[in-house]
Amino acid sequence: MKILAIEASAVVCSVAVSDGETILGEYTVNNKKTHSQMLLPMIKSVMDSLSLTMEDIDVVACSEGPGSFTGIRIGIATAKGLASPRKIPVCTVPTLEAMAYNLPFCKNTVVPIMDARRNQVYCAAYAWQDGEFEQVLEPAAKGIDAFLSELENICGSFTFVGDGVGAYEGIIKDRLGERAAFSKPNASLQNASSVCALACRYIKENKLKTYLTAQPVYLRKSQAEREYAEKHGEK
Amino acid sequence: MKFESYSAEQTKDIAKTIADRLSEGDILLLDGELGAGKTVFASGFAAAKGYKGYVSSPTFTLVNEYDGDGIMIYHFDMYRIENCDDSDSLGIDDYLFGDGICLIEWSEKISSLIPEGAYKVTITKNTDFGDDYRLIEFEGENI
Repeated sequence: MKILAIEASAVVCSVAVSDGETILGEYTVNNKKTHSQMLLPMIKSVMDSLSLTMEDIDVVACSEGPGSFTGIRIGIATAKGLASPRKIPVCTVPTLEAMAYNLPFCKNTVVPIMDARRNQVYCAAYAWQDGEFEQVLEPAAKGIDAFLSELENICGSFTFVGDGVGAYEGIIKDRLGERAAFSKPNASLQNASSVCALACRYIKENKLKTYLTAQPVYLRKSQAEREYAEKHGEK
Repeated sequence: MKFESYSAEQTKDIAKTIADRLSEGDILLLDGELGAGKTVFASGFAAAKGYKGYVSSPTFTLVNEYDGDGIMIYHFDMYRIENCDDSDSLGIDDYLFGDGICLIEWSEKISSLIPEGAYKVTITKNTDFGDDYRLIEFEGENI
């Protein structure tokens, strides 16, 4: 079974192909949000390198969000488009969950955070147990302060991954001190290999969608947070 | 900073003066009643940044994109936006925190989404000085 995986939810644009066991190829660019120009040529490049065509692909996996609105749409639309001619399944996986796969078997709780701007992060927390992760905090858009307060009440140490680290490393260290660690550069951002690996789990759990039912997940900020921001903005 | 204009051409020249002070990542809120000359200002602004095409009001498109000389200009009109949730579906953050310059008309519709440090131009008519007179005020940090 061959899986083509797409990760385009933020600045990283990444494509990977897996045979269900190992990653056969990956192409990752962390530059600007030029996914609309980059993604399809990258897919072609990886497929050509592996002498594969879309005829060989059984499942198209895609990071579903949260992240950049435009990036998520480009990823999901591309996945749907590639899956539609042969009506092969689409496997959408939460972006933050896929990032937990960057750090398998991590003893610390893995905390993926993405910069959502205005002191907000898209965040979640996962604990590895018995070879798989358990969700500790579900993906959400939160103020960085509120999120760190939640983490303070959770036992143990944390390893942060994601582009939110660059934006908030200082405040994370201030609040959590020795309990906070940060991922190394090879595992610090989204990549399609992690999407591929998580998709394998979703496929086993029969969580597949079709090109018609696959949906982006933007994780909008809650109404309460919005109203707070509105008041805050008015001063 | 205040400017006075007595013609569309002068408004475009003033827009150029302001455009020369703005660069990648900057946001300029563009205020003024209907007919004040916001589109004329935007046209002068885009031209100053090397855009050679035609500038029209984005009232119906919500956003027009102008390809300048090595920089993109994103021209918004938020008049038709009901609230911040609407503009979310436009993916406005990708513009506001992007690489180009954002010109935003009717920005009060999305005031809670506007990042700190945005510049503002207010265009006001005053018929005491003639029908074509416009007072153009430019505000922002470090001006």
